[in-house]
Amino acid sequence: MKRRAAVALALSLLTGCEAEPQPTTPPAVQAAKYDAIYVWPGVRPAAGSAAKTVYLLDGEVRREGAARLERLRMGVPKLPGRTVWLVVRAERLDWNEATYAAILADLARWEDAGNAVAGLQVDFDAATRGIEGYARFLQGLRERLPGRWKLSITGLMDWSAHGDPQALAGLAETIDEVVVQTYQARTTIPGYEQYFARMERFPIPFRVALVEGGAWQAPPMLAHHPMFRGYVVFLLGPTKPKT
Amino acid sequence: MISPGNDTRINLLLLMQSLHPMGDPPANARPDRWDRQFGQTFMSWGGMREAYWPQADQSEGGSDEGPTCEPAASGGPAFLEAISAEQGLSSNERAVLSELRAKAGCSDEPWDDAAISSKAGREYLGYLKAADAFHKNDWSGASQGFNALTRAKSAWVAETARYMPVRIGLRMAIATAVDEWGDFAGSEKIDKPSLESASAAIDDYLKAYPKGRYAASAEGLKRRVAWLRGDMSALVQRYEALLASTPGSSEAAANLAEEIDNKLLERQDAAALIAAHGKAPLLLAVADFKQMRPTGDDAIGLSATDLAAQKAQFSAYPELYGLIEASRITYAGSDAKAVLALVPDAARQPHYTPLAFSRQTLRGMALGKLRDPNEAGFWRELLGGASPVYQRPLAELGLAVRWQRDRRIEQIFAPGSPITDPTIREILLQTVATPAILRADAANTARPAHERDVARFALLYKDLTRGAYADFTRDLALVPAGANTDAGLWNIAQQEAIPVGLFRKARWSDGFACSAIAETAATLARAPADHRARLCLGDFYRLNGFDSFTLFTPDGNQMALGNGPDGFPGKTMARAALYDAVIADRAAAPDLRAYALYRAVMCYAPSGYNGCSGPAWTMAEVDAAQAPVAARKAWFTELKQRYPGSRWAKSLRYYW
Repeated sequence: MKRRAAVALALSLLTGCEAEPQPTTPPAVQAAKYDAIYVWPGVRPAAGSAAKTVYLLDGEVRREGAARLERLRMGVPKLPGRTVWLVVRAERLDWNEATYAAILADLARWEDAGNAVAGLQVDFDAATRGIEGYARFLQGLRERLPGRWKLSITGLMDWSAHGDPQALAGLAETIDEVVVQTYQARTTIPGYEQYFARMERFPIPFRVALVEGGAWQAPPMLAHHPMFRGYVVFLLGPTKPKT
Repeated sequence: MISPGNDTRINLLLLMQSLHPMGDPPANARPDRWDRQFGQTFMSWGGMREAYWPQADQSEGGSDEGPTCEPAASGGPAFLEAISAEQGLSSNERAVLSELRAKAGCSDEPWDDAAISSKAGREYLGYLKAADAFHKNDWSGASQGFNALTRAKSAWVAETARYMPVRIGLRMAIATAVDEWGDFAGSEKIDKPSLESASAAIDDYLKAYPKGRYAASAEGLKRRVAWLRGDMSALVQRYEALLASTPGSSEAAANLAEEIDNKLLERQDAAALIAAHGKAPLLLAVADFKQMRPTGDDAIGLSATDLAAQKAQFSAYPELYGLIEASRITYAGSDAKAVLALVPDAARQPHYTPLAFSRQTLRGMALGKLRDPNEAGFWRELLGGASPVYQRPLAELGLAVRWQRDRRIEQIFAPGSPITDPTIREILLQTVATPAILRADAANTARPAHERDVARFALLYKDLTRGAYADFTRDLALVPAGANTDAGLWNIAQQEAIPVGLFRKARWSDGFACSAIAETAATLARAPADHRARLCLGDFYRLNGFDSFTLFTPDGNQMALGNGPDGFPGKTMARAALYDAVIADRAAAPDLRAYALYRAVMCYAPSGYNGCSGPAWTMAEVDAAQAPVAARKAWFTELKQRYPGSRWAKSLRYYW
């Protein structure tokens, strides 16, 4: 998995632990116990996966060259009986007409193939790139997106702590959902309880994304948070066997 | 350097740069203006791409027009250029054709094409109708339409019509090979006749237009055909040839690295496929490095025997083979002398390819492991010809670690020191620097603002936590006006802004009266055991996120940067210890002692673990910081019984 790729450690002389270890070892996340999953291209959910909601990565808008949708799926999924979100991973926000058109075309294609398409999710690292420009971008996207589709975005955990609350409140008018990511590469980010403690007044419906096999113990605040809508498990591809 | 821990794409690119030596990229290249990474010592693939091929600002902008349909929005400019250059068209025909183009693939309306009458005009119209069929997945209609145009008089139409059968064939080939997730279902599901017709169409096009406008795409699609066929041997062969021929200074090299990683190296059987091919040493090298990647287990994933069996394949690349051998020995933790024997000293060059630099760096690491007296001299020589981007910082790291081990930190920070990389200096400032070094660096206008902020922050934080209160009150003068207060303390080693301003402007109190931390520190400087001041110091930590905060914490490895005796004297006093001290004084003023008891109990809320003992790295440390439950109960009971009237006793209902 290359998303949020690990820093290349040439001499392994540096290390970066920032948070306390968990007092007890929380249980590892098992995808089968959750009703929503993230599926990246090349990853096949276990046969008979009962996930009701599926977030499928359709493509990426990469930094290189002119903006365009780089499709990562060979064809149109056919997942009758499930709710499908079309996910686009974005490394830039200066989308052109062809980019929007390609994404809207894919949403329509997925729907025409018999899928119940909930909407579009944009996966963009707004935490480091600043939320103000992102809010304007999302407003423009919302205006282009036909009303039958929802708009969801991913959020890194430090967002609610460091994002401008005004901008966050502004997002509440634009987006329908935030999926808060609790992992980096293949493991849960330590210290997640502290992040959630800062999310007490988060104004937007949110799901919490867990990584398959990662450690997770639900912070108590989630159970009674009025905006909490459940979990999404990020499925991992098969790990490389030792040779 | 080329190394097992790297992203595979970085190793691929460094290898291409070694085979086709290139000039240094701009020394001032900021790898990624959104991500500090670890400076230029360690980098991500995205950061490296950005250093060599920077992209324009893409944070905003783009189109403001309403949505259109995809075929119309993509590929338009080429058609419009072609018709504007076409002599045989009337201006009216051009206007009609450009309108019709917007409908091709996007509309089911009948073609309003009565105005197109010239021969050229009918050719372009024929192209649009064939493209319309293509976008509507009408493959036979599209094929017929394009086939009829391969001898068109318009050069653009004829060439494009010759190329389109490639795309039609590929679309048809994969239509049957998609699973329920929209993913590739495997080569066995491919419609083989369609794939072979696409393959033939590629050859046909390239024969007719060897330097045509789609020639590069057609070459790329040859690899796609091989991949779809499942012909991995052909794919390995093409990638090997491209690795050997693509200049590492071109952006094509970065794209190639990504493609090879995606289509070949991410497969679980990649190493076996490459080994089976037998004539792909460059890919084999990259696969070998991937196999040596640290996994957390003890054993390295590539044995000496397996590597020795590959030697013949590397006959054209002896230096590369030597690098793999030396890397294997280094990362297996074997005899460092063997590395010295494999890699002769060549550290007095004006310039190093990544391959040559990687070899020399391994030699330096071996000298370090052997504690060779000439190690520092070796690194200094290597610095002379190291590229400022990605090489020099690594050689500086080697020298800095040696000087750290020799207890010569002051030499690292002396004026004119060769250790100039801010990332290296910032780590040492946080871990081993003396107060004098921190003050000097904070005041050094020749250093970057970020590094000076790290020095200020480390100095003030350690002044407070180590009990140097009088120094703290003086060192506050180093905080510039307008210093950041809200950047947070989530990852001080890497975050863009360092909240040095927190020591001047922060939350001082939320119920228990406290003044600014400057006054609290001044009181403690006069009377280190002053109860109120101690409690206020605790509240400063608690209210401003310092409880689980830590400066950069080095790896336990003795070769790790920052792992050495801290030049800053004193022992850290965590919040829990402040409360213990007040509680221990039974003569303390009732309101102060009651607050200490209250806070001591609250340290365990709600998890039952001590949240006031500072960061812990192991379960043993967590356990050691725990007061027994009986003690927590005793604090609670004493607060309730001895200070029943205090607001703290009244508001506390449980202990944990």
